[in-house]
Amino acid sequence: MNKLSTLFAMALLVIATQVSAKISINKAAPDFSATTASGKTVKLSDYRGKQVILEWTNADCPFVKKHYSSDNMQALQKKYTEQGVVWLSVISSAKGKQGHVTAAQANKLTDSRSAMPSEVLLDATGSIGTAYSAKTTPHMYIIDEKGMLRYMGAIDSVRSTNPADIAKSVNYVDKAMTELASGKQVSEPITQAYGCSVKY
Amino acid sequence: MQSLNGLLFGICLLSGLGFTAESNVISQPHSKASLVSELDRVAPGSSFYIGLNLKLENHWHVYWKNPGDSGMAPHIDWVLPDGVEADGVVWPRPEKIPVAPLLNYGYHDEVLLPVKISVSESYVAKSLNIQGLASWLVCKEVCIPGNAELELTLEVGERSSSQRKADLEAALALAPQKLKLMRGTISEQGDSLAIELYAAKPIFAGAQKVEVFVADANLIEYAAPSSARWKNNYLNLSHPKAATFYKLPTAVSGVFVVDDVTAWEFVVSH
Repeated sequence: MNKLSTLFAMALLVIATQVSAKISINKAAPDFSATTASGKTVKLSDYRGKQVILEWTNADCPFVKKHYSSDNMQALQKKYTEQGVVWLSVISSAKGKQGHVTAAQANKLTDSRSAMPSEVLLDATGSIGTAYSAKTTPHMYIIDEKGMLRYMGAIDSVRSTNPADIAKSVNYVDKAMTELASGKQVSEPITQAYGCSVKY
Repeated sequence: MQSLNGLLFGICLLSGLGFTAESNVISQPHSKASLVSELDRVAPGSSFYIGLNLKLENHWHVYWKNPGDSGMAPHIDWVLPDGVEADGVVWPRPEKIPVAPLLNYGYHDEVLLPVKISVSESYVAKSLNIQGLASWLVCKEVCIPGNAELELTLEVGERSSSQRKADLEAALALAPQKLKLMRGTISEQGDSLAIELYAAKPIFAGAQKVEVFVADANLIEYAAPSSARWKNNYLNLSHPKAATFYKLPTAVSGVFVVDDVTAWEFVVSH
């Protein structure tokens, strides 16, 4: 009986450990290995020493369209990749679900939208999305040079599908990157992401 | 021909001056929108309810004020004459809409979102024109934005109910009642948030089911189950923290739904 309750306690401990293995701000961002649309295999840890921005995306989602039809997302990608930041667009749509693309389709989308990510990660199993608790498209994350998660959440402050709202929004990614560049802590490290659900 | 023109002119004139408790209906993919008024005729110095009616195709949904893991609440921008003001939406209690592995808070099939309109005593015009620019997101698994410019004109004079009064009363009856508390706290308990409260009345007596909808973002993992125990006026409810939990605000609000019937709006503090 005693042994049984010890076993039970251990089982509970294991469950508790799994539950607490969740993503946390100012802690190490979960490492991952992913296949890119360009056919490479990349790991987050490959980019140690550089800042990394993760962008969850789904080209058919109206919230994603808001930021691409307005060139808002491309402008951010350009601004930060030109500064040496690694920008990874992640597609976690499962096969058969909205936004799922093959490598060739992903490259075509990048071309047709003049997008400028460093890489597009194909995550049809959803493993990276699950590790990061990515819930919406877009959903944005900033990881610093040491691999620490510094921001996760919305792209900006106005939850809408209307591109006209972008001008009156605070861009949280831009704001966090600016704060980090001046050696500050990110003042709003977590915001509620808005968008379509990730199509796991 | 002459008389036909005259007839058409007459119809245009009538519809131009037409007072109606229901606006134009705008069809968008998978949804239709209109405004409905509780009154046909409004009196200066009083208030009344108007509602945004969203009719959805089967299996499609729209969202509560906190949409949960994804989505977006319907929004209305009002264009009103001077002396007329609109409050915020009185949100009917939501339902849980699972989109595995995520969860949303929202409404299926059809929803009427009431908004209180107040008309000042100094309002002197003979008619009251109300324009609402509505935007919403309708989703099944995929989501499609909807937009509508809706308009209705009511007569001003002695207050008189419209045929849609019962619909607005029904929608208002679905809104949660304010929960009076003797004490209510929320605290962090490891990986969960715990709400403990004593209501002023025994609202949990004999209840079989108590569901919580938290209005504040980034606090709870919506799709995770709550565990709760209750008795009479006491409730102790624990819910896993959101993966994106950062810190507890000083006050947290939300809605309890008891036995799928009664809804209570609560505020608990940290």
